Amino acid sequence: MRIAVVAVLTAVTAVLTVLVRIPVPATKGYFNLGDTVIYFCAFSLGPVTALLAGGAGTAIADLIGYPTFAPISLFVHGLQGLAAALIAGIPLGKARRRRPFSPYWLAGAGAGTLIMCAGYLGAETVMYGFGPALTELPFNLVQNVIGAAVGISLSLAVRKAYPPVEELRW
Amino acid sequence: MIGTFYRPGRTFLHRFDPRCKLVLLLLFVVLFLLPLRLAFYAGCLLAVVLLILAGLKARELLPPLRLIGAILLLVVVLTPPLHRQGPVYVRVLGWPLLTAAGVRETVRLLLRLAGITLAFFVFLRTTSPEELLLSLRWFGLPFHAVLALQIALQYIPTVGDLYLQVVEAHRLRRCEQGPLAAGRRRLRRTVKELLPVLTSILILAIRRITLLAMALELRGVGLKTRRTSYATLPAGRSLLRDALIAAAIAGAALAAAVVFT
Repeated sequence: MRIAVVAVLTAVTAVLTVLVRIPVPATKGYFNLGDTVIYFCAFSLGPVTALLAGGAGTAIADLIGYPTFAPISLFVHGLQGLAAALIAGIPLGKARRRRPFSPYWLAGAGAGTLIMCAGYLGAETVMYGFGPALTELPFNLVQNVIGAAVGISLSLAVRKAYPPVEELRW
Repeated sequence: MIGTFYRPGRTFLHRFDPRCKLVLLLLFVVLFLLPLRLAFYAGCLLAVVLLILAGLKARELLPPLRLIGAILLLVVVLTPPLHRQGPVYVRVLGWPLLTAAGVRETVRLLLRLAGITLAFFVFLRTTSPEELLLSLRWFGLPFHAVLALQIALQYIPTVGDLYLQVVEAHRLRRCEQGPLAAGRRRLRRTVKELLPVLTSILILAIRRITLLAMALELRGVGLKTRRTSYATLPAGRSLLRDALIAAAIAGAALAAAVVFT
């Protein structure tokens, strides 16, 4: 079952990273939804799935488009998912246990954003210098914030519409 | 629908052992990242370009460079002002805009990025995803990890089709409700419209997990006595020949790195 969970979510991460692009009229650029699936995995499917599917899915997506970044994505997005899931999985007090949303999700998303932005800034600085790497920081930040917001909404919606998803947590 | 860089062929680069190619790729990436002299980076880049020209076609050089064109431009524009050591070539309002150190660093970063990108490109253009996975398995990646990656690669077109079907279904439903899709889309509105689509895709994909797990179980995956195993890459003379060639290239590159340190 675990192989199937990781395989399918890896494919979903890769497809949504490559295919779904949200256009940004102001910059004529676009955001992808890779981070959204990573946060969904982190909040709904647990740390191991978030680590493996997040890292491998974005690396496969990079191999299709920007292969130079594939090793960076493998580690950075994997760690992003792992950190977000571990923090989001901190148990709540008894009174609040029944609520579907945990405030730790926000802390997890914050940690994930920090790891992703710092990881890419560091790796890109080594690859092509601090100046160009710094210009990508705001885009990574906004993409992560959008990814976290949509990922949280998506986790709540999927859990409500398909409760068995809880059984796939790993 | 989702293409990869790989194109089948019978060139010497295609026939070269994927394990040796993987080792050489890693070596070149590491060498490009080391702080060495510009002549070394230029030599390595020249070697990769000559490899592409000899094994593939000259026009194959363009797609990878086009991909990183914007980043190369950013490097040219933003790197020189951050390095102010050495003789100043251009000064704007007393600020040294272009110095010798700035030029050197810009050239270094351009060569590094172009070299790493082209090295990855040669590897992925001439190595199929299956060969890559079998090489990783040969280097010790666990069977279950390779299996999960293999299934993921096979599932990508399926999930891609699923996405297009769901988008089409939601678009048709939206037409019945009103002209929501028309007009200029804004970021917030686009995200809001995407949420039901993504929810449907994820639920449909997650529902397939149980079926896939059952299929894997029926094939004996997870049993202590394995019913299936992965094919192995060819060994023997061809591997020995390619390993010797790879060792010679690696030795020459390392010797050059020592000379140019």
